[in-house]
Amino acid sequence: MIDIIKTRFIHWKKQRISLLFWLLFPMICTIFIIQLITAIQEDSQIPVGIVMEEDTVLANHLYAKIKNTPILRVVNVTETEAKQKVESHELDSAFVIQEDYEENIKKGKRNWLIKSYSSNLSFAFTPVKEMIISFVQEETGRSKTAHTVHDLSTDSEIKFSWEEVTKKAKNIQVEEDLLLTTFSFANTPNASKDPNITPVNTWGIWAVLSLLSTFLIFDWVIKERKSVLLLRYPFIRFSIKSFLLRNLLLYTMLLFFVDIITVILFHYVLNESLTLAGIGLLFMYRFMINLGAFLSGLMFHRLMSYYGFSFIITMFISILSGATVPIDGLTNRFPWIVIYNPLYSFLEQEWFNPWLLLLLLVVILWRIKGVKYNA
Amino acid sequence: MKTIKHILLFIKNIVVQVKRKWISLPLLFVFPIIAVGLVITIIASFFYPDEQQPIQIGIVDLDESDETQLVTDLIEESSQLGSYIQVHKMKEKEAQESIGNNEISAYIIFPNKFTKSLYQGHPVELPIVGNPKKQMDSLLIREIIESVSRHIRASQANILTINYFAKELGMNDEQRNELVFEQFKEFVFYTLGSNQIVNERDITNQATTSPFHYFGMGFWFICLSIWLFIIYNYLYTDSHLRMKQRVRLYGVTELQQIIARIIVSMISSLLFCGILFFSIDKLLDFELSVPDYSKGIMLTVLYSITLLGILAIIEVVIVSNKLRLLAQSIVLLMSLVVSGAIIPVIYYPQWLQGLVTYSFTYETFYWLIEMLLNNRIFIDFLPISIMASIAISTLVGISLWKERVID
Amino acid sequence: MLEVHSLSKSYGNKTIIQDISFTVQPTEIVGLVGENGAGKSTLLSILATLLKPTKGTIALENLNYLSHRKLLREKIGFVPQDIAIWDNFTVEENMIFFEKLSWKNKNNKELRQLCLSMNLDKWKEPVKNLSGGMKRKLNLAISLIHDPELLLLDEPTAGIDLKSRKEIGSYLKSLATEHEKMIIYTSHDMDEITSICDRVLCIGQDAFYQNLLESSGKPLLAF
Repeated sequence: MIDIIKTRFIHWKKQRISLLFWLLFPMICTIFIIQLITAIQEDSQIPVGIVMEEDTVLANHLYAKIKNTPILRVVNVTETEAKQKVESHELDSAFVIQEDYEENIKKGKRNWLIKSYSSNLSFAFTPVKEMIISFVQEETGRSKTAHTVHDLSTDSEIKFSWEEVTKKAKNIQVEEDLLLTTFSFANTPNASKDPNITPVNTWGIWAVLSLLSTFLIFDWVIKERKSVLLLRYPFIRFSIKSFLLRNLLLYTMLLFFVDIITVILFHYVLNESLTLAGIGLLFMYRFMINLGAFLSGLMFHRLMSYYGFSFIITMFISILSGATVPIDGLTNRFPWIVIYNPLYSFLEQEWFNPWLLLLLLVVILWRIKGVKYNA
Repeated sequence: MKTIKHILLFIKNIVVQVKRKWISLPLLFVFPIIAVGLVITIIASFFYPDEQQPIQIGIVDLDESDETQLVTDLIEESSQLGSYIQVHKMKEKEAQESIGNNEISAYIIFPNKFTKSLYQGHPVELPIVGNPKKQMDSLLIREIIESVSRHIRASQANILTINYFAKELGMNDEQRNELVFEQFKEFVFYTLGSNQIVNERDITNQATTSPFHYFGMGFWFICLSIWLFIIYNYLYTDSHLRMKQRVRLYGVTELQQIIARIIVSMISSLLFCGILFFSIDKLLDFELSVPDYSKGIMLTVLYSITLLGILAIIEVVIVSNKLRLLAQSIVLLMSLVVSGAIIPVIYYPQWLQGLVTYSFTYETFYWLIEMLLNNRIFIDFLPISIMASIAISTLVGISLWKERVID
Repeated sequence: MLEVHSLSKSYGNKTIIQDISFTVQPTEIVGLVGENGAGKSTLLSILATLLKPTKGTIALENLNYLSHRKLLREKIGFVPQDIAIWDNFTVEENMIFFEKLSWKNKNNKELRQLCLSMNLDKWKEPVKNLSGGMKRKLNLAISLIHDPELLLLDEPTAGIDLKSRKEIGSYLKSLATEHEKMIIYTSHDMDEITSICDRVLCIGQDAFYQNLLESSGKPLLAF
């Protein structure tokens, strides 16, 4: 084995820049992508049109509240513009603060204070609407309170004005902002007020990128089976199969070493958890994609076809695994997709990994039989 | 003249090569359709939750006061949250198991002494526990719970206000407690009726602005781009240095070979795209006129030239096969993301929206959508024409420069 | 001693080699001639254990080819017609690479000596910068790392200049006489064959070659 390592080192020395690039590529690229997506997500805004039909304190107050919501980009429009822009999908949706808004609230009415325009391309309509409703509801609720207090005081001499009651209610709400929601995922230790739930999954992106880089690193399987060099293998100490398998082991060690560095780096840079079980699953994943790349390499003789295959397989797995785009919608409908997902065990922390077993079985069969590859 | 002769010769050469590998041709056609179809289905199913399978949420009531029971019962029964969310009351242990079995997307806990704390003005936490296997659902639920807790917060303040004024009015404790519970119920129902605030108007009068049309076009556009990319690389042959030298002796430049490949890739992709477009049109019916077709073809051709030009520039600049494919894939992916074919551009941050307008994919897709969905008659060909000519002249420049340097 | 007894090889109906018998003794160099397609390379491949004969027996130092393939390979050095070396390595790296995989351990000095003995002195040079002759020498040197008893060469001097040819020739000669090796090798160069080989095996019973050989006075192998 020492001798195999020494021969491998001669190869690695020759391709150190290329090798280093592909070894570090998944790690660095993942960090870059995560930072990019986070930046975009933080700045992402839903364009919403607001039509002001009256210029009163309450209407302006509502407008300011909507405008101060970070996820919304408010565009001032007239009602006609609103309709037209929603139709051409320049705005996600539009809301009209209707005439007599303040007056109606003060009267204790709340039906149809706001008019909304949306189309079936208005993806964000429901959450935006719910939000605006809750803003309006705060005002109408206070007004309702004022009316309730007014009703209570009918028999009493003390009277409280509408303004007095709503001001008190507002103060109480500000002073005693008591209800907090916290969010956490099951099986994760700490809940937080503002958890970082992003639809992107760090390890998912890494898994896909490292799948690609592993396949590309494993082009040695093809290069070292070039027909000319095949003639040398009968006259060395190792059979070609054991030579290739030993190198597979060596590459697995190298790549797993880089994986460990990745885990540590992600822990400190991206706050990913660092557990022994995680590392165990990572090793299983590493071993699985190495076996996959190894076997794929054995199927090809032309480098270009192999590279093309690598990109295509990466693309399909990245789509179907849910590593890049969330596929909840798809797996809810077709649960069997999960079975065909080679990344499932790694991403969902399952110890049972049918793909690993299958690939291992194929490699063992190849070692025992598979005369086809034996020159 | 000689250049054209060489290009024609290489086109012929490519056709002969492709004939030898004809088995892989249907694969080239089908592969992007499957891949892109999958992505579009995934994204569409994300935006249009399946009504048959609503999101399941658990509610755990640890407080078990009259108030929380009232609220949890109401939430469980009401259809206020829409048909795509279903709420179940359960014990905490049940909820944990259900998450483990992937049966619910999240559960909310009303903690012990929830009501009491609220009445007394002590801070309370409302923990939501999400299912890590259903992150998107959890995200949605969190948004809804945020709105709900805003309602509760406001109602709480209002109840406390009523309590305060009731005290001022000299009401006794027992009466006041009764009043507060009455008001609590009142506000719960009041909150549930809050959707009367908005008078909703749907704008769907135009048949062609359905998401199906938008994403149908997006699907077609992505397929076109992937075909261009795959076919162009499929025609790539790694010829030996000696072969390259021999060919150069005949006065053939690398550029001529690249142009031959660009032409073949473009023609075959357009052919594929034509077939695909007719199938989509049969399904969705874009109601196109003859001038629309010619404008569409014009746009597609200009776009194809630009994309292939950029892919070819990368090929000329990057020698390593692996790196070249990677660079080309990244450029393709970025331009597609930016085009709006996957996610409409209006949802991007504003600084990005500004940048995006300089992208040739955005430019093409924008005018395609304008023409097909919004019935625009005038199409501004100028930006995309300029981009195409920049791509091609850069390719020519770099390629000729490189050839001179090597010689 | 290599003993070949009534060896035949055919693919389907097509017979390539028919009933050849001969022996090769240590210190002996045997030339293999015949026109293209006569079966020279096939015969070498069979002797190198890479192909199995259809009929006949072969034994090297009393080890039968049918039952001792693995063991035999340690005693055989095979120099392929195509140059089978790592293009991106230097001469040194190529030698070390194959030494690590070989049955015999040799230190750097011994490896270098092996190259020097056939005038391959560009130790640190990347192979792609070497001349055709140098590459051929390295191709040969690699096959000699494990000190084989029987050396099989498939046109080891194809396409190289006269000087390198002579150097390879005289090296083979000294290898046979001083280290008591058996050498079988094919070539199209009659001058080379006649000057180096002790005996010549003519495959395909080609009158042209037989006449050429008879006129040169070299003893033909009987079969």
